[in-house]
Amino acid sequence: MAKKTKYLYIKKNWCKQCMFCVEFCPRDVIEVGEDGYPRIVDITKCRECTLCISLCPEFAIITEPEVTEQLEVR
Amino acid sequence: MMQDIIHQYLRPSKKFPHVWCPGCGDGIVLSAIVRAIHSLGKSKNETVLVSGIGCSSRAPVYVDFPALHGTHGRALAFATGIKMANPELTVVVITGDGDGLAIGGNHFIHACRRNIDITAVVFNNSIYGMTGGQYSPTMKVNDYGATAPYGNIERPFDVCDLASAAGANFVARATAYHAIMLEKFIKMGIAKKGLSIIDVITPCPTLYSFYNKAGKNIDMMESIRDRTITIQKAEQLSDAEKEDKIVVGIFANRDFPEYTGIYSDLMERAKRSVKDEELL
Ligand SMILES: Cc1ncc(C[n+]2csc(CCOP(=O)(O)OP(=O)(O)O)c2C)c(N)n1
Ligand code: SF4
Ligand code: SF4
Ligand code: SF4
Repeated sequence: MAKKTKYLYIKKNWCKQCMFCVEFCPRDVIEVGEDGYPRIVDITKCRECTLCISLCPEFAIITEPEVTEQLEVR
Repeated sequence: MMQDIIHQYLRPSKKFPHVWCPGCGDGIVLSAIVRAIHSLGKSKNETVLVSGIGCSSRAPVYVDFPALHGTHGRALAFATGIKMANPELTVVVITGDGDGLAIGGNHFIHACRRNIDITAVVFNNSIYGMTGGQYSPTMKVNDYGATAPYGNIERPFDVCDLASAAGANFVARATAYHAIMLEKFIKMGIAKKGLSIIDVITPCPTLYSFYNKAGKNIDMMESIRDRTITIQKAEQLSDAEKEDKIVVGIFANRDFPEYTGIYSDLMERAKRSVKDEELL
């Protein structure tokens, strides 16, 4: 089976800017953007350890494009 | 790629973001519970979430499982009723340190003593979040709370020692920072027949932090991370050295008889003895 491309999406309207994802990602994949919300800087550095999604208290990190689409309206 | 799990379980009728404060550990613990249930392949209809009252007890409101958001302190009592009436259900209790250990302390020890097949996750932030920061029975000596302005003088319960002594089959502690370990312990607890207690040290960056000057979200998380040691490491330390530490790991994993099983045997015996009497 072909390996899916790496994907992470931060849903800003759910994020409360605790910055756990930025602080605790072991690979510095996520940083604070100019708007004060986390943003993905370099997805290729991600080793899919799942720490950021496990530590996001807001369920604001999405790992599949289809889910991002489904949740767009919420 | 990583599987998106929590989003499959969010209650469609609920508005997000949820009510918890920024940096509160409750959302982290809830998503670990959901991942544990998911990884065991349990369907939504064979799993019930039961909680009392408190910030933490709001958790079942946000996920799409059959749920009972009951009265303060009574989560384990309601859960016992649900499990006795429907032993085939997987029953997971969500409780706070106030809900489960203060007003609900008696239900806690007796649920452990009966060793009924329920998994209780204690969201342990050592404070009453919902009502304004009163100290709870798990607050450390000399920590501060709304009702302990000069420092708490009462020694805390060790939730794991208490549960082990009272007879629960599976007892473990993790933290909100160690979310992957936490998920593993919850999964083991649910798979275990008998009562499982998972004590989770979780940050309240609003009220605990306010009274204890414990800093912001990341400060509290880092403090939890840095104070955490394993059971093996703890064995090498003196009581004084352990004072401020959070000891994580599995404290009990054993196979005392489980209550619904014992009860169904009792029913069989009772039926048989009624039949014997009819023959007389
Ligand atoms: C019978 C009863 N007594 C008191 C209260 C008030 N009360 C609501 S939540 C709570 C404590 C919650 O603390 P905890 O269980 O630790 O949960 P947290 O909010 O910290 O998650 C209290 C005392 C109540 N709702 N019902
Ligand atoms: S962990 Fe979640 S809520 Fe916190 S900053 Fe990252 S995306 Fe936002
Ligand atoms: S999965 Fe791990 S490596 Fe990838 S962004 Fe999240 S925390 Fe960083
Ligand atoms: S008061 Fe504390 S426990 Fe309650 S939601 Fe806020 S941070 Fe969480």
